[in-house]
Amino acid sequence: MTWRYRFTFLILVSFFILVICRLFYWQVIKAQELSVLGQLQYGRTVTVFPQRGEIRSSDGFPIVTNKISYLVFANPKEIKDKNATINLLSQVLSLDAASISANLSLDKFWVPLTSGIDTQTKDRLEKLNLQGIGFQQQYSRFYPEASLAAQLVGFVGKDEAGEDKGYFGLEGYYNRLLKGKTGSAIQIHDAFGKPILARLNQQSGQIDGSSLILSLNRPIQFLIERVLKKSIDKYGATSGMVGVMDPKTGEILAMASYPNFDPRNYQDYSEKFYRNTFISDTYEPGSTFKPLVMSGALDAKLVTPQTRCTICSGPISVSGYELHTWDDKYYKDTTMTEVIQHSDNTGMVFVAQKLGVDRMINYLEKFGMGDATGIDLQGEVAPSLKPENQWYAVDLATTGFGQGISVTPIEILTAISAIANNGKRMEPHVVSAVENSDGVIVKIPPKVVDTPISPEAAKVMAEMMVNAVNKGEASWTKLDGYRVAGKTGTASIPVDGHYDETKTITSFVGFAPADDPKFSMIVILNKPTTSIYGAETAAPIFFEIAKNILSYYGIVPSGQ
Amino acid sequence: MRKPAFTIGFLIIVILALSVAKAFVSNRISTSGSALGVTRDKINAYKIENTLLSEKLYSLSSLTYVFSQANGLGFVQGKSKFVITYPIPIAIKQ
Repeated sequence: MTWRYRFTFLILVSFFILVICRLFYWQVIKAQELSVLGQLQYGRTVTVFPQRGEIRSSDGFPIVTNKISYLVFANPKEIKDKNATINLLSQVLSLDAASISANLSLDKFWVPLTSGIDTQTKDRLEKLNLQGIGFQQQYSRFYPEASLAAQLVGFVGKDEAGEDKGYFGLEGYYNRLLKGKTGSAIQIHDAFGKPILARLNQQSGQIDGSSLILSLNRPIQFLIERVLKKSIDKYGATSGMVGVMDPKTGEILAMASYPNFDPRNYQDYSEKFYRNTFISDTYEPGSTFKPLVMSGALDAKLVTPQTRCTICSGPISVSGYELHTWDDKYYKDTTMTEVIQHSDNTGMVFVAQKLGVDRMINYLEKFGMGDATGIDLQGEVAPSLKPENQWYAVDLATTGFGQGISVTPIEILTAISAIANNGKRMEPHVVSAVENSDGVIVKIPPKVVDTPISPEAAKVMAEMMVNAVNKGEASWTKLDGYRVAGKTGTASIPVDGHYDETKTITSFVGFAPADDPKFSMIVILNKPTTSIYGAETAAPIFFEIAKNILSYYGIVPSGQ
Repeated sequence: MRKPAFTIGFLIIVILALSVAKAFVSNRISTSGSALGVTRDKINAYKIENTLLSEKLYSLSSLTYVFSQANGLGFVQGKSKFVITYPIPIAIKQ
């Protein structure tokens, strides 16, 4: 009996071990697969799309948000009277009847007809009770301020997979943050096949996009766009740009280029309008470059405001090139303050030669020339500086007055802002905070990139620029009662190896109030026709905008 | 032997009662999808209405709209602006 008993016991134990192993296989190893199979019997997988994040100005107003729109689709197999349906769809959707007809003749159950239609159009279509026509709710971009800051913001188009993707500007640079994460979930159905709320959001892994809170000041942005557009007409220019920055933090308060585009209908515009020329176009800065070179020489203690130029009595010959002043007027023994005031090219040759190539390159690099500023926008270019061994005597001389060197407007604005900010160069940025879908706000702190000059040199340079505004060529348009530091710029455009004297890029760069700057600004006009000089075109625009900004900030006049 | 029989009986009754309760509750909620669907439709409708009203609000409070309305109503930018930079002396000492 004992062996029989043992044998039976062994059989039973083996059987139980087999059962346990099998159970382990189904319940542990295959658990997830079976769970999905089970769920599929009473539900179906749906894709949960995230909402793209908003882009808000500094006052919290969404300059880019989302609106509900609809995708219209058709099931061609359900449509009986195709001709009537095509006619009605063509009328309501303003689509070509031939393209609708081509879609409806496809041998498919689901054909998209158009997307992005508004609620009113959807309601009109619904009232027609067309068989085989359905709607899918989706979100599309909505711009309450229309084309305000269009090139700064960019636009949302489609990628290769047909999904939303940001292009240019903030939409391009912050696409990953803005777009969020698509999720998927099982939609459970009841006995009648009706969907049951099944904690979709918690299970799907879908995350809405984060919102960007900009440093952009909406009233200032609105102001500069209006003034710029009006001024381009007034001065007969082909295009123009304005940028306003807080020099103490590097925050961009406003940035505009004209002509621009309408992000709602971006496809109607040529690609060249999408680029933010403020960060992606290079130009020769001309005289707006002089404060950078002069402040380098002041910082190196090679000159003082009272230092007299010993070579300024006439045109200067350098390596076979004769260098003139812009108006062919020459001031013998002129001081450095007067060099900036008269925008004297020969005086700047004197300063550049004092600096020498080594120090010139060193200061230009510290001011950020030849390197990207790091602004958080897509499409920034950074024209590089020539290597030291390729600098000739004439290059050093012409760089002193801003010719023979290429920069972007953002580089000049950032560099001049360093003078306004006691010699500290800040990294320019447009986004001041990011708010995630849970409402958690992460602030982006200001970042000091470099300190190109000492606070003392910065103060002295600021005073020289105030003097240039009060006594220079642009003094006719200056603001009474305010101390504004600024510098005009007129740069001839190089064409086929020589300068075309009739076509210029005029500019004005400066900051105010000079003692405690609230903003720095650059105005650039491309090929103005009423005058070729910055003092007569860009300067009045600068002061018109400055007057309004000072008034907006409630800064009262304090004397000269 | 009486005690286990009682326990087994009790457990069977409990199991049966729970099974009946489960069948009853399942039967009750099996068609609640309709009610939930109606509720969800209502929530969606409110969400859509909320979004549409937000759109309208943003459009009406945009500077672009306010500026165009102000222009239409005749508000224009002042052409001249006077700024007193220094106090005017009451009397000048000779």
